[in-house]
Amino acid sequence: MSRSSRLSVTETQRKSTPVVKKAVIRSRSYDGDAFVNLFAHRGARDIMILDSHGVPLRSTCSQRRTFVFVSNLKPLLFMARNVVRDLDPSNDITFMRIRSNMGEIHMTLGTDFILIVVQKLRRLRSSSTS
Amino acid sequence: MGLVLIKFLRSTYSTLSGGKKQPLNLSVYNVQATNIPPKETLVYTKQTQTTSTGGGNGDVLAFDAQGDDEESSLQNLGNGFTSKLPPGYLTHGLPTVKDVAPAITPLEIKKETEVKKEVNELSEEQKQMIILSENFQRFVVRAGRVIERALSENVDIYTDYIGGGDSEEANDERSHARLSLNRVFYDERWSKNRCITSMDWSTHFPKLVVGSYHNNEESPNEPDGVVMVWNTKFKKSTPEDVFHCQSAVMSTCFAKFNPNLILGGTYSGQIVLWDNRVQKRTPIQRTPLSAAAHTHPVYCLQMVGTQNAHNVISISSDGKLCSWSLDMLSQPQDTLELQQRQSKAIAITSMAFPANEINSLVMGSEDGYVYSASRHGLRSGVNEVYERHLGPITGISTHYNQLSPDFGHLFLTSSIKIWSLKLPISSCQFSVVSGINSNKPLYSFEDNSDYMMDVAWSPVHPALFAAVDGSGRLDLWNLNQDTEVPTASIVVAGAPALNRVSWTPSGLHVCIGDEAGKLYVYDVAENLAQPSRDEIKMNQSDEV
Repeated sequence: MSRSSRLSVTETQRKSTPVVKKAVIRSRSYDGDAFVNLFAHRGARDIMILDSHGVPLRSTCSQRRTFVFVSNLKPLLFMARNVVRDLDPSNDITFMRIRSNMGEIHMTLGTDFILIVVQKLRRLRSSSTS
Repeated sequence: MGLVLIKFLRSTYSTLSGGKKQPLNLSVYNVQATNIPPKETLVYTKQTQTTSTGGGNGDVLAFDAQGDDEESSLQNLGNGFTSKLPPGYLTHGLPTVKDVAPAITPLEIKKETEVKKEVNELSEEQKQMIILSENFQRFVVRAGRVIERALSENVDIYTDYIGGGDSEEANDERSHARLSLNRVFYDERWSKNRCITSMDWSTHFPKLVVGSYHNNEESPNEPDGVVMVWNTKFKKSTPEDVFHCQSAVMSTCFAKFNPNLILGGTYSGQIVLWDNRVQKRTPIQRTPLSAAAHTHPVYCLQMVGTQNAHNVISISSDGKLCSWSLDMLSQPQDTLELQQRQSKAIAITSMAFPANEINSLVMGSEDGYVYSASRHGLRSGVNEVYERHLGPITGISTHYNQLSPDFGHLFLTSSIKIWSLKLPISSCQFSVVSGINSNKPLYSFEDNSDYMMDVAWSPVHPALFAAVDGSGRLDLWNLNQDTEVPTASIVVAGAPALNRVSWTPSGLHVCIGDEAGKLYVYDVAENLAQPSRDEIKMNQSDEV
């Protein structure tokens, strides 16, 4: 149920039909999307992958929402990397996590790419409560 | 500048005309002449300072400096010679202050424009090129695992511990239960309808377990053999690694002294080698299908030896034992034909080496007999034959501590029960040490009413072993407590046919594999898993 609703939401958010078709066709061709579907199943709301300069390469949400996240998280990511490098030049940042009331954002920083996963927390809280 | 110079010239002319009439006017002329050079030098110095700022903004600052120059020159005339230096310093400070403010604004504007352009830099084709590159795929796989571990850990640091009584009650409930289900490993794509044929624990990463799976008869297009590595530490529900093989994998084990290699024995007789550092899922090496190696299913696969001298021992169901080196799988180092006295091949179904033993081993066969054999020496080959079970032997297990005088010399076998007029035997203990009546079973446990599929000694408790049967029952037997009924027993939810059982190296968990592809991890209560003081004392006193 959540998986189908996830796919439908993604399709409605995208504006141009050919892009959706291309994305759907290409998404089935390699293993990268297996973990995208898996994350959606596990409650991950949005998944974005950026290159080392902060340019979005792939995303499961609309372009507008992606730009909102990227424009806000990119300065934070670069500043965090600068902090780690300034404290110790031989060190480097690998993972960041922003925890809030409604959800949390996980960021994996590699040398070439950056992976951002946005997750909801309401379900987890309700499940833990029950 | 020109106007000022003209004024000076006129004044000089007037003084000259006055001098001709009166000789006293000459002294006044000398005084005025000394004033001209200092003014000129001041003007040139300030011009040099203003040009050093540079750029378009510099021009604006230069004009300001000229204005200051005029003011300072007027002040000099009014105050006389002694007040030259202070006005010079004041004029120095003002331009630099003005220079800083306008320099920032245009650069910020440029940076903002650059940021906006950068977001839309890559075209769709360039994105696809990056996405399909190998670097991207590797990053997705690795980062995905990290994120999955983070997502799976539902540790809520905001838990309100005022209501901690509930968790304490839960802990109490768990402490009472001797066997409790920890978790189930199952992958919808790779585990479905695949019987688990073997399991092994990693020595480098004690939390990793590898399981080999038989073929899925409902999906003929999928590879027959699948091997998956699971992580019992994190609450991650996907395998750490998935490996394929075109033939069903009947046995698997971690390479004991290499943390990245996994071995598998296949139904076709090949022994395959996977490396989890390589991105692909197919084996990186495999043994040849020739008469020099195995041509029958390899049900027994184990690594024996030490860090510097170790071999892979494999036995196929036609009774051939091969010894391999990991560095060369193209040809076995040593082969041994396991035959009975009538030169008939023995169909070996299970094998076990005593702990830290590389020469002697015990084997279970398809006809129900148990054999002990030696790889080297004068008596290489089958040494002894133990009394037979009434059905094929499904599992065999040796004690972890051969020096223990209580049960160290015993090994366990499990078999499929065949009903007949004779007394049915399901699971027996044999003595490895030869002696009077040693070929006969010391005891048979007849509590089960279904096929006994596997049996395993605990790696830390000298009297504890686990057994599984085909009706979904997991039994824990403690020989110091009771030999009639198991100490702890549990039926797996859904009562699937269980196929394999193994202990974690710590002895605190039991791992079970069933025929539907699910791998269960059960927690064993600490008072049951750990030997008590009496048992330890008894062992020590006996040793003394």
